[in-house]
Formats: sequence, C-alpha cells, structure tokens
Amino acid sequence: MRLTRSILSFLAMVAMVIGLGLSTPVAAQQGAAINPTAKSVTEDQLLNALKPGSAAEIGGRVSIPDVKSSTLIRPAGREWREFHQGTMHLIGGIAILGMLALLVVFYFTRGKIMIPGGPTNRTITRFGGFDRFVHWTTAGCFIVLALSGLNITFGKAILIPILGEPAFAAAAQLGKYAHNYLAFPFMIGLALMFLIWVKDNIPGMIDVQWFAQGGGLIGKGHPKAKRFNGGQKMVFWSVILGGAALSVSGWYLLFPYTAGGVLNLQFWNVVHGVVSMLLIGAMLAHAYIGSIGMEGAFDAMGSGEVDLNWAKEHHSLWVEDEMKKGVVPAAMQPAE
Amino acid sequence: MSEKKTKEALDRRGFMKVVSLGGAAAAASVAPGVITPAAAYDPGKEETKQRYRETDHVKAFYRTNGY
Amino acid sequence: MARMKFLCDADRCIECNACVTACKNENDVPWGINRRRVVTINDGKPGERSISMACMHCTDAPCAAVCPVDCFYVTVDKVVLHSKDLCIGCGYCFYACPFGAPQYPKVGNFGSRGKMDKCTFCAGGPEADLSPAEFQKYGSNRLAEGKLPLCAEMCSTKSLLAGDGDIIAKIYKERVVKRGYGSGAWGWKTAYKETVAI
Ligand code: HEM
Ligand code: HEM
Ligand code: SF4
Ligand code: SF4
Repeated sequence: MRLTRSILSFLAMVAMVIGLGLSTPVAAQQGAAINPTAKSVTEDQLLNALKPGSAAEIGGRVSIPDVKSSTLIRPAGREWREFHQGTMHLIGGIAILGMLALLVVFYFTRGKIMIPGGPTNRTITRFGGFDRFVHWTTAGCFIVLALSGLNITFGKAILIPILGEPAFAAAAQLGKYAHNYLAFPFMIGLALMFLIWVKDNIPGMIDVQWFAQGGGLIGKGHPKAKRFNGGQKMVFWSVILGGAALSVSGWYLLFPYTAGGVLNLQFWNVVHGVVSMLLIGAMLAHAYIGSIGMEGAFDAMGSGEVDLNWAKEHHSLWVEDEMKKGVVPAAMQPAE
Repeated sequence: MSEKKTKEALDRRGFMKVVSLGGAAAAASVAPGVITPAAAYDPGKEETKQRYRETDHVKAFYRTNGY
Repeated sequence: MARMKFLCDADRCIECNACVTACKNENDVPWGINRRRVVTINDGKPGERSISMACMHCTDAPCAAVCPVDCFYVTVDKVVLHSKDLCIGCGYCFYACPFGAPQYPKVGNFGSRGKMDKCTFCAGGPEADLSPAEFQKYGSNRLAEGKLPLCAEMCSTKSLLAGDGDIIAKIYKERVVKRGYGSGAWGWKTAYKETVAI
C-alpha cells in the first residue's frame, strides 16, 4: 500500500519534472496534485479579505512571548499616516488660523464691545474664589496641553528650522512630559467645572431667544440671560464634551496597552487630534471675548467682581435673581 | 464672554465637527491634499553615505542562496 | 545604486527562529525587544506558511513621515535609520508602521516608552561607523563591514534573503521557476508598492 503510493508519487514527480522541462505552465497544471502551494495562503488573498475596522490586520501565531508581534502586516498604518500628516494638519490649520483671522477681522470691524452707558463703579460678585480657581486650573492646563500638543503636530514643520534638530527634540521631550502630567489636573478641573456650573448651563427656551436676537450683536438691545447666556452654554458644553473626548482618547494614548491594538490607537489618536484642534479654535474665541474683546468681561474671572451695568447688560435675569436673594452690589468707592 | 463672536465661532465649529466625525469614521478614505514627505532628518552625508558594497562575502551570500 | 530589501521565501521558512536569535545576538538587542519575528499564518491548517518579518525599510517610509521630531533618515542604500538621541518615545512610528517594526524598551508604563528600537538592516545609526557608541545604541554595522544582515546570512533554509533588491528578487524568481511554485514576496506591495512578477 505504502509502496504503491510512493511509487505513484514518484511517477507524478517524474511527470512534473518532464513537464517542467517542456514548459512551466504545464508543470503547474500537472503538478497540481503535489503542488505544496496549491492550498497555501497567499498575501493577495489575505490583503483582499481585509475589511476596514478593528480587524484589518494580517496576523498569525508567533512563538516568542510578545503577542503583539503576531501581526504580520497592517496596511492601515499608511492610511493613518495620510490622515495624520494631511487631513489633520488641514483641520488644525483651518480651525486655528481661521479663527485667529476671524478674530482679527472682528476686532477691527466691531471693535471692543463696551459697556453701554459705561461702568457704574458698583460691582456684583460673579465668581467666587473656588469658581475662579477651577477655571484657571483647567484653563492653565489647557493652554499648556494645547501648546505641547500642537508641538507634536506642527512642531517639526515650524520649529525645527528655527531651533535645529537637537534643541527641538529636547523641547519636544519636555513638552511631552508636560502634556502627560498636566493631563491629570486638567481632567480633575474639567470634572469640577462640570459639577459647579452644570446647573446654570441647562439649555432652555431663553437661549433660543438669545440666539434669535443674535446674542445682542445684531440689532439693538441685549437679549435677556440668566447666569450663563446661550453662547456661554455652548462654550460650557463644548469644553465639557470636548474635554471628555480628549480625556478618554488621551487616556488610551497614555496607556497604549489598554487600547486593545494599534488600530484602536490610530482611532483614538484621530479623535484626540481632531477634537483638540476644534476645541483650541473655540477657546481662542472664548479667550478673546473674555479679555480684549469686551470691556469688563475679564473681571468676572479676574477679581470675580463685575460691574453692575455689565452684569445687567449681559445677564439681566441673573442680576434680578441675585438682587432678590438680597445680594447688594458693592460700591467700589464710597457712594455719593 | 457672551457675545456674537462666540456664536459665529460655534457655528463654524459645529460645521467642522460634522466634517471631523465623518473624517474620523472614514479616516482612511479621506484623500488629503497635503501629506508631508517622509524622512527629513539629515545628519549629514557621513551618516547617509553608501555602506553596502558587493564584497566577496556578499557575493558568496547571493551565490549560495541561488541553490 | 543598490536598494536594500528583505525578502522572505515563505515556502522555505520552517519557523526555526534562527533569524530572530541571530539578530538578538548580533545587535545586543535589549530584553523584551525582538527586531525580527516569525509569524505563522493559518497555523496548523493546510497551506500554513511562516514568514520572517522585521522592518522592511519601506519606500516613502510611514514611520519617518509621522515622527514628530523627524528623527529618521534614509541612507543611500535606502535603509531607514533613526536617531535615538532625538526620539521622544511618542509611539507614532509604531502606529504608522505597516509591519509593527518599532519596539520600545518600556512596556505599559505611562507616557514614555523609552527610545524606539527597530531593525537597522545591520547598518547601525548616526554615530561613527563601528564605534562603541553606535553599537551600544543600535547594534552592529555589518553593511559597513561589507556584509549583509546576520538574520539572512544565518537562515537555516536560506529562506530569508537580504541585500540588493534586484538581485534577491532575481534569486527568488529563479527559485520559483525551478520548483514551480512560490507564494510571493510577502510585504513587498505594502513596503515598496511593487511585487516580484514571475
Ligand atoms: C485630558 C487629558 C489628555 C491626555 C491624557 C492627553 C494625552 C495625549 C497623548 C498621550 C498624546 C500623544 C503625544 C505624546 O505622547 O506626547 C497627545 C497628543 C496630543 N494632544 Fe493630548 N492629552 C490630553 C488633553 C489634551 C488637550 C486638552 C489638548 C488640547 C487642547 C490636547 C492636544 C493634543 C494634541 C494637539 C496632540 C497631538 C496630536 C497629533 O498630532 O497626533 N490634549 N495627548
Ligand atoms: C486665557 C484664556 C482665558 C480667558 C481670558 C478666560 C476668561 C473667562 C472669563 C472672563 C469667563 C467668565 C465669563 C462670564 O463672566 O461668565 C470665563 C468662563 C469660562 N471659561 Fe474661560 N478663559 C480663558 C480660557 C479658558 C479655557 C482654556 C477654558 C477651557 C478649558 C475655559 C473655560 C471656561 C468656561 C467653561 C467658562 C464658563 C462658561 C462661559 O462663561 O463661557 N476658559 N472664562
Ligand atoms: S517597516 Fe515600519 S519601521 Fe520599517 S521603514 Fe517601514 S514603516 Fe518604518
Ligand atoms: S517613537 Fe521616536 S522615532 Fe517613533 S515617532 Fe516617536 S519620536 Fe519618532
């Protein structure tokens, strides 16, 4: 039995060798019976079978203990690279430069928004010490995170020509540590911000009216608002939701082995990069209007005491509520 | 804080968000206009110079691998 | 000018891991890092194949494109090398690499993964050729010695080919013609955007 089989296979082999001698295609056909690759996996077949998603990898088994190394080919790396080096730069450029351009145009057309009727010298407490502490912890971390993050994205294009390779690499290393460590106070600040301000940021009909009136910029008269107006509520919710997205995605980038594979890391990096670009753009507008863009606005987060006229203009219902509660606006100078 | 600027900004951001959500979902399929080229770090000629030579050793490798 | 490439003849690879071991020894690769590994596809099924894989030294290398500190450089031999002095261990090259080649000495600790390490095609790094500093960071520089990567030279079945891309492609083609089959040059499409036509 065994003998006949081996004789048969020997004959087949002879046939194949003869076939080879005649022409290769024939050999391929005749040799099919013993062609060891007839059923073997081919790369093309595997590449074609790849579906986009979390399993777009060609992998197998490795005998070394590092299971991560069992992925043989992961073509998605090239696509991530294109997104990261192309689209993400585009989004960041548009969001940040576009916003800066908009703000400059706005500043020169609309100018600084002044308090109608001028300051009164009478102030009302807008944010207590804790509110301001939370705001500036979060904002301070955000600024460093944004700069060190942008350095990762754009630094090599902008700073290497200026600093040179070694100095830039040292700066980037520092920035990376800053980004890693400040992520934690940022997340804590974000959570506190949510807790202390969410009750005044529930959207309602009054916000619809506020937007309908163009936030007081289009047309005359300032729309009514409670503690936070419609625009501020949008700032609040972008910070909370955007910040949460950055925290979750950033967490996976910080602890890469919890993300469950490189494809997931690519996804989280895209989320992190895109959300941060958009949020940085939004925060530029926020910082503008909270400082040089509007007279009296900065005091709310500076001393915490805002001018009464400013408060009445922008947060009329809130001032009424405070008055009802018996809060008496303090005089900055002895009343006449 | 409260003014229209914020609002305009938010409109645009809202738009970008939609774009980006599509982008994130189909990150791969977005055809970007500008892709930065690979490798720019150039530590000078010395480091990037040719090292490979077809020595006898290398030739022996090619020859024995032809078997 | 010769363009360095790797080619693993999967129909010869017997997954003996000699290449893995040779690389670790020759380059004094740190604990926990394997610059080369052998992956078995369809393990235990008919048609299973093993492929030895490391950095393929890609054309238009993705790792180099995404590195935020631009620490990669490509030699005249088209070997993709990097500077450990500049690397900040961000992990981006690992996200971009289609072959999972970049490795990090620190596992799972937060943020810093340490300096990236990967196959150098046995061509060292930016330090002076064959200097102790170069060896300590990147391992040996066999190309400068007029040799080829040790993994390929050590391969027990002569499955793993390294060297001038045109020459090794020719060797592979001749093999395929002679034996009548071949499962292709694994990874070439992805790495070099070309394949070995037979
Ligand atoms: C909340 C917690 C955050 C965590 C845990 C976090 C973590 C990370 C990590 C690990 C990276 C990878 C780069 C590196 O290792 O240096 C990164 C990149 C980046 N982060 Fe954050 N981050 C956080 C918040 C933020 C915030 C608030 C911003 C900006 C507003 C930001 C903007 C960026 C940017 C722009 C990048 C570079 C994206 C790229 O080019 O791929 N991150 N972040
Ligand atoms: C240097 C930049 C900044 C300045 C000058 C600034 C200024 C201000 C001011 C004056 C207010 C009070 C507005 C009011 O009277 O109601 C405020 C509120 C707020 N800030 Fe900032 N801020 C800055 C950065 C940031 C950053 C980076 C964040 C986010 C992480 C942030 C988040 C908030 C939030 C959520 C509020 C409450 C909602 C609102 O008023 O829009 N701020 N900021
Ligand atoms: S295989 Fe990976 S590490 Fe090697 S050149 Fe290609 S992308 Fe870079
Ligand atoms: S880990 Fe190092 S080599 Fe890789 S992309 Fe980051 S800085 Fe560049």
